[in-house]
Amino acid sequence: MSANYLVRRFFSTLLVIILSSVIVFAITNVLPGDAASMVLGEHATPQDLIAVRERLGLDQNVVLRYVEWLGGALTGNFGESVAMQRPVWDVLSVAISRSLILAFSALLIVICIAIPLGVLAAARKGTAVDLVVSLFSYLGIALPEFVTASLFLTFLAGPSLGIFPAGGYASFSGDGVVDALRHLALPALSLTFILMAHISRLVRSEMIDALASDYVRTAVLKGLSRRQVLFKHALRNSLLPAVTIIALDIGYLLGGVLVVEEVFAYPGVGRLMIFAINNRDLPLIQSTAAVIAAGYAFANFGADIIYAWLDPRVQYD
Amino acid sequence: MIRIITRLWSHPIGRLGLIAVGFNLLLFIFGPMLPPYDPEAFGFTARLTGSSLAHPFGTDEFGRDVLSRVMVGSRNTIGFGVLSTLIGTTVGAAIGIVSGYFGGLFDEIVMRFADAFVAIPNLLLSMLIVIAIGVSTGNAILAIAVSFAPSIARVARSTTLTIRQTDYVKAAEARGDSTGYIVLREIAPNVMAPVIVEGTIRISFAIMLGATLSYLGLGAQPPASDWGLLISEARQYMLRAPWLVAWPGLAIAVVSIGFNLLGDGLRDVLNPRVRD
Amino acid sequence: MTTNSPVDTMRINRRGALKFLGGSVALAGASGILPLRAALAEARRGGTLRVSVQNHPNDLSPFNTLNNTGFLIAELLYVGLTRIDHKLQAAPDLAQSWEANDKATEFTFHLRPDAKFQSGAQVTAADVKASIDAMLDPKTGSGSRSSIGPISDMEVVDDLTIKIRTSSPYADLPIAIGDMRMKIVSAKVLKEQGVKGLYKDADACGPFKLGKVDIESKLQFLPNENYWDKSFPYVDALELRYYPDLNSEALAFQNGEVDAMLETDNATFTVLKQTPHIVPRRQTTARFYSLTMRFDREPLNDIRVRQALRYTLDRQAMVDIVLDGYGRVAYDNILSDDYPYYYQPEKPTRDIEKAKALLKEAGHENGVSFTIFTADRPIGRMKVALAIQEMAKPAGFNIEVRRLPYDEYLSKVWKKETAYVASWGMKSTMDGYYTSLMTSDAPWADTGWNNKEFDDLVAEEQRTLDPEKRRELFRKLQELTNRDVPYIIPFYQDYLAANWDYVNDYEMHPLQYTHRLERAWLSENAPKR
Repeated sequence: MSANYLVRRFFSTLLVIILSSVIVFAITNVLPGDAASMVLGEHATPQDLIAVRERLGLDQNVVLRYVEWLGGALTGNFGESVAMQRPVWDVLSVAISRSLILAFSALLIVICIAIPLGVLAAARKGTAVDLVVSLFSYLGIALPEFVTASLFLTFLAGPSLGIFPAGGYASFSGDGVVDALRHLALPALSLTFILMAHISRLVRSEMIDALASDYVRTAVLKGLSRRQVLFKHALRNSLLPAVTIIALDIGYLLGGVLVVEEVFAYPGVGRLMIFAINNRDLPLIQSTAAVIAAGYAFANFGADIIYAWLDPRVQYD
Repeated sequence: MIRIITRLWSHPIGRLGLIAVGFNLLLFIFGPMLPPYDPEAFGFTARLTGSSLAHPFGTDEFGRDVLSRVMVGSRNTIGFGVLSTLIGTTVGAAIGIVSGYFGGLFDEIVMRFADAFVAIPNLLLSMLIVIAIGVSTGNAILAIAVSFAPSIARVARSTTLTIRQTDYVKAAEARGDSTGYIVLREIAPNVMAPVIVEGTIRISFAIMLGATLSYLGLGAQPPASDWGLLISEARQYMLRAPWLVAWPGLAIAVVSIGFNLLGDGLRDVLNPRVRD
Repeated sequence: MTTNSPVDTMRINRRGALKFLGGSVALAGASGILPLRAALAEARRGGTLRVSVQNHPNDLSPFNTLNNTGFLIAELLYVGLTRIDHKLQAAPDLAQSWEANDKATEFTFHLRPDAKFQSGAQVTAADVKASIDAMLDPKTGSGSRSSIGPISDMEVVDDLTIKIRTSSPYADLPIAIGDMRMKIVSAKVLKEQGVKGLYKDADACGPFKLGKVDIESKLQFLPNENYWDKSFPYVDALELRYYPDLNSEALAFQNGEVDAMLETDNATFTVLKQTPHIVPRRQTTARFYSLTMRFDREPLNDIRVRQALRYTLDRQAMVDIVLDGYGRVAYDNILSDDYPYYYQPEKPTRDIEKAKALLKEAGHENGVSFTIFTADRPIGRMKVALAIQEMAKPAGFNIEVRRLPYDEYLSKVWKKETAYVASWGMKSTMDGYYTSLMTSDAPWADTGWNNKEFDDLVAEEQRTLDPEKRRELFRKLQELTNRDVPYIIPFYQDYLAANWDYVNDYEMHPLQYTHRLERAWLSENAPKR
């Protein structure tokens, strides 16, 4: 992997993030209502509205606002949240750290369960085992996230079982590891359920491709045992694309986080985004969306690097 | 076409998918024609009742018959998923093919924008679009289509790039066939397979997104009886009347699993590498 | 008053009434839901009270709060010049007493000498003046700017005395100044940092001060040692937790993760009512949903069409469907019987023939069509619209219902569209409804009524101090609103909450913005944490 490739990928990642922020800015610029009317609600008089718009800087031109925002964002200043009257970065940085904890817990569980399931389904392709694994993984995508999450909520946090708290957040440092894990459990489980379907299915199809490939056939012809072929040759080769798949799934994860955090009152980026949208808080919408897009873009960047590093056969100029 | 269906039928996942999607098709056609009650009529005396002979799926907070609402909602829901996916897939495939075939700066620009769109989660993008252009079912279809198009474009483009290098396209170019002819007759049909697989799976994803938009107040609008809307309205009564969530939830699950099974079956059947 | 469960209401009313008499008296439950307690329980100190709220506070500035969480925080951290009691009269808070001149244009307030900020500084008349000035400044952008009375100027007489003058007679000033946003803040903070200084933890003088803050998920409050009444608060700490999803809030409460839900919806309330050891709390209020109909738009500009719509409604059925019975029937009167001069000239019941006849008279024998707009919050808006749509159908009303996101509703529908469902909280004064919504120059004149006779009567009522003359004027006003039907108001909605049985003595106020959590205490059977 050449340094040139690395630098080029890095800059194209930056470009993607900037373009995403342009897209979000363009869309939010045509929102019918504005933060000022949301701030005052049905209590607004026209004079009050003008005063609040001025206070919020909503009377400025959109291109100017974008340039200003971009300049600020590049120096770490994301402006001020309209609805919360606090610097966006203060709110956002805390939310990011919490969402990362949630996302990584979910990913970890997924990798431990979904990859073996996918391998199993591929190895027994077309049999009842394949069908059962597939059906099980379909359950995760059979219902919208908010329904899945609500079901977990009702059954695992309901008064009859009450194993887990119904929502909220506890920090590892402040509230202790046990409490933190209990609060993390249900949102992480909901995300896992949704992701698992996706990853195990993709691992399955990659494995099937790998099993059909020439080098595996050669290995079989050489007389290696089925287990050796499966784990030594096929899995290793299908894990490479799995890295890419997991990176792609960060996108699903970031979308799922929106709903799951809302249902479980988990104070991360997703809930912040919904709060911002509900309040038409433009600075917060724009910055949070940019952070989400950046998370996705950098996950892909990371996957590319890992891929290139793991697989020296791939030539990059 | 018949060949593909026959092959799907002999494939266990594909067969299940065919059965489920066939059932969906029946629901789509006959569901709205046979509801036992007017789905919007109030029943003042029987509010929030559970299953009974008169109301097998129970009644909601207005005393409306849930079975009738689920039946009538089938066309809206399945139609919603299919239509938004169809628009998104067609537009995305067209962009991908054109971009991949012509290449160069145009391709570079289109793909960077596609990357930028893909970096924004589908749900977030469609939420923002709906809020910007106004809340209605039509706009939700459009928003989901827009959020789907970029990733479909990427799939179509990468397939186009491969096909462009094949001998028969090269031969067509050497023959001096027109660009339009090559794109439509040589490239588009070959791009179809991966795009159809992707699109079939996305139908259920579109139904989920539509339901989630309803949960956030941005999808179909009451008093319509779209399944996602039924669930999101019923969530308020989830602790008291869980069947209000359960029945439309089950309906969504059947449809969604059906399209997923079919998509996976298609993937296996159409994938040349595992065809032996 | 109509209600599904008279026992419930009676209990709460009796509790409320007893509390109003001043003691922290716990009454043995009559309904069987409330466990028996000693008739005179001694309030117990200590413990952490955890309450759930549905909204995230926007910021900590009392002037700029937008939602119930913000109002609650303002009440915990700050005090007002006056407070509004259960009977909607002004009661002392920072001001110990006050008097008005004969024309009701000048009010003198005497402040408590023992009120101190957290920093230890005395709360003086200068702080009061600075706070009111800040509230009245349009740049502050407070939602209550036009609700605190027609204040023209203020005079600081000495540290403990302030005179407030109004541009026109305004007998209700001591009530209006008790507005939930009109809190007294430090003049020093305002001077040094402006209103922005209040967005964060500022020098306040209420019963609590901020403890550990995690603005995204929970807020902790600790007793303010400098609060003037040393007997409050009873608890050692108070925690507010946010649950944006209503099911997650209800489950957290049922699991005992929180001790009280300060507001709940009727579906959840019905479930909670059946749970042992959970005390359902219900308070009648005059908040309402209205079908607001513009006088300047076809076809509702014809009063006969408005009248016809009135006669299609089965109001008790609406209370049952929309509120699960937790409300009182209303007859389109913006004033309820909670107010002294309430008068109901007519109580229309469902009469489809009469409605048809009125429509025919108005030239709509083949039916009349229009759209009712609603917003996505609160939930009840949509239900009201659907119920009206369905009930009005047989009389020939062909109504379409459309729901929009709140911001789109505000920018495109509110004060513009032919008909829409609005939602209003209870107001502290009768006059407040008329002057904010219905007179021609009202800031939120949303029906476009522009009735000269009405305007004149309101102006006269404001000048009049004699109670009997005022009663007569309000009777005429209510006759006018009964005739022209500016709003369809099918019911007044109850305020519902719930707590575990070990939580005692917080307040359920008809205005909903007062909880007095400093008086809440936890019984011995409260879980130890």
